[in-house]
Amino acid sequence: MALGMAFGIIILVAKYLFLGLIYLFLYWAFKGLFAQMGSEARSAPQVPAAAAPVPAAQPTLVPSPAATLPGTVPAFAPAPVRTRASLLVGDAGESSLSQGETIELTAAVTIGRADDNGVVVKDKFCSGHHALIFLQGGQRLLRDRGSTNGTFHNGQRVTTDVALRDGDRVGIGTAVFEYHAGTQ
Amino acid sequence: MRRTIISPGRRSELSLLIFSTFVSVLGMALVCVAMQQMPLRALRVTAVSAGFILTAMLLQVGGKSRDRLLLPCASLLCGIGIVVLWRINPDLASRQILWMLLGLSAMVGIYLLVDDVRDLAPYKYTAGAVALGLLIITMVAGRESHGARLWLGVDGYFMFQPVELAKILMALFLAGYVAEKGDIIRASMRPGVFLSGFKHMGPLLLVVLFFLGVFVAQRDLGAAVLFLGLFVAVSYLATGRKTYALLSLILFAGGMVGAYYLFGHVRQRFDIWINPWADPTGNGYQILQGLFALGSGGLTGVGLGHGFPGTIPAAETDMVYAVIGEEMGLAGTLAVLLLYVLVVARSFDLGMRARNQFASLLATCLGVVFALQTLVITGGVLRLIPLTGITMPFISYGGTSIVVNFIALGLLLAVSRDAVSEETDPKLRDGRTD
Repeated sequence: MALGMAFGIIILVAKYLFLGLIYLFLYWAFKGLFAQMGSEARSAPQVPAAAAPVPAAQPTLVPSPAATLPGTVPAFAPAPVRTRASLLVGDAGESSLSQGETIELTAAVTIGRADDNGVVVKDKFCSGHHALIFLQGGQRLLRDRGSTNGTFHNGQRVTTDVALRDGDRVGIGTAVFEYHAGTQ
Repeated sequence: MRRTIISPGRRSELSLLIFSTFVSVLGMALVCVAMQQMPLRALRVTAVSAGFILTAMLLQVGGKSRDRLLLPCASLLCGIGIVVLWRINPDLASRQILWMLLGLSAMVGIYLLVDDVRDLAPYKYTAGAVALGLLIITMVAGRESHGARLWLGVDGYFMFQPVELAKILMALFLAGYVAEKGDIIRASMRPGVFLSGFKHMGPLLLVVLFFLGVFVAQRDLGAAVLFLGLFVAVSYLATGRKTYALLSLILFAGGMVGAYYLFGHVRQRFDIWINPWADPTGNGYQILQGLFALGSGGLTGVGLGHGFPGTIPAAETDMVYAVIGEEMGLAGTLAVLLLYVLVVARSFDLGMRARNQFASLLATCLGVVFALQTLVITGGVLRLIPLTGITMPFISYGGTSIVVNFIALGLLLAVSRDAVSEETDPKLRDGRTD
């Protein structure tokens, strides 16, 4: 009798478990669907920007925050001030960064949404491990780490490592950075 | 470095596939316990799930990125299908497992064979002609079953339903035609001018009307609705004009009204829909048994193996949705619908991603076919629309239907490879416009 009841309860639990698991599957699958749909919605308008000869579609940087950087204002610098190479946030987009923020670069800095990155960018369109900027042979190179929405160098999508030069624009997710080589 | 970043998507596909295996086995175990069979027989469903996992790995060999969502969804749909079929008739379910494995191999074949989906575009007229030819041969020399001549082949050896194959061929034809003529159609349209561009839409309409004639003669109403619906969708895709969609819809409605007055069997179907109680033991029997089953299922169902699918005519094919409703309840029927939503939404998503028109239209057309099939049969069982015989993708019993659904899936996967590879390679993207 008791055994029969226990059996009945197990079957009842299994019945709801079965339905519940199907919905758990649906939850995961829909999450995957929407995640990828969102990425497409963002990358679509970037296509003409990448194809255009002049990277005009990338938002132009506001000059005023750039002027606050010591390295770019020679008139006010009688002696060369030693500054580190840095990234200036030209357009924060929808990311957690704020415009005009300066990020100093070390020998190798990873950029991405995950917390283990050197520069953490909380942005829906930024991949977990999005990009890497590293020093090699006196040059600072930009590398895309297989991001979903791509890394953009002066409006061109990065496929192989590219060397950064002073004033270059780096697009990651919705944010656009300006690279400053510094005087180091 | 790139490789390692791409892999998480693959892992999640595999984990979803393994998860769907687990769900299917649980469902099978419930059915086997309720039907007092050896619970170990539940493991038979793993043949299909293992087939899916193996397929996913096999399609990985090329190393190209592709869609990761369609296979897990199809796997769970197939699993649920086997569970429900096993409950209705274990022999049919065993045969269905074989059909699914055959379908999976057909899918792999299509995926590997079609290197670039655009290679199929030149065969659009061939596809249309073959579809029409098959249907006409069936009409003349087909085998009759349930009052409709829908089968082709040699009795006892090899039989198949050409109309199922015709769906895919029709999608290929429409996608090919519109991809080629789409620009001309749009260019010939004048803003504000009613029906400008008809010159190039006209031939399409003629072809569709011809198909409709065949279906009406064959008394295959489900297929007629499906093809008309596909035409409505394509005419909107081709022109981007709501006028055309509206016009096709009016045509659709007009055709329905015309069919009602012209054909006795259409009138009968319609009358059953309006009032199944007029003849509850005769014409209305099937739909009423289905409604009773859905009603007794309630919110979460009577439990797998505890319903009475034997009382519903054609429970394993047309009425399978009612069996799901009885044993898995509203929760189960909604879950199945949502799985179809996933497949359809993904197809449309791929259609929007694809960088060339043909691939884009093909994915969208296949999505429309899946969507219409699901809507027509579930709507019919739920008595939202008149019931017309059409299969439920991946769930209804039927060899041709299963294999063809897998072929469609293979085409979608091929489109996804195309879409993704062009997305990651900007060099290819610029040179490729159709």
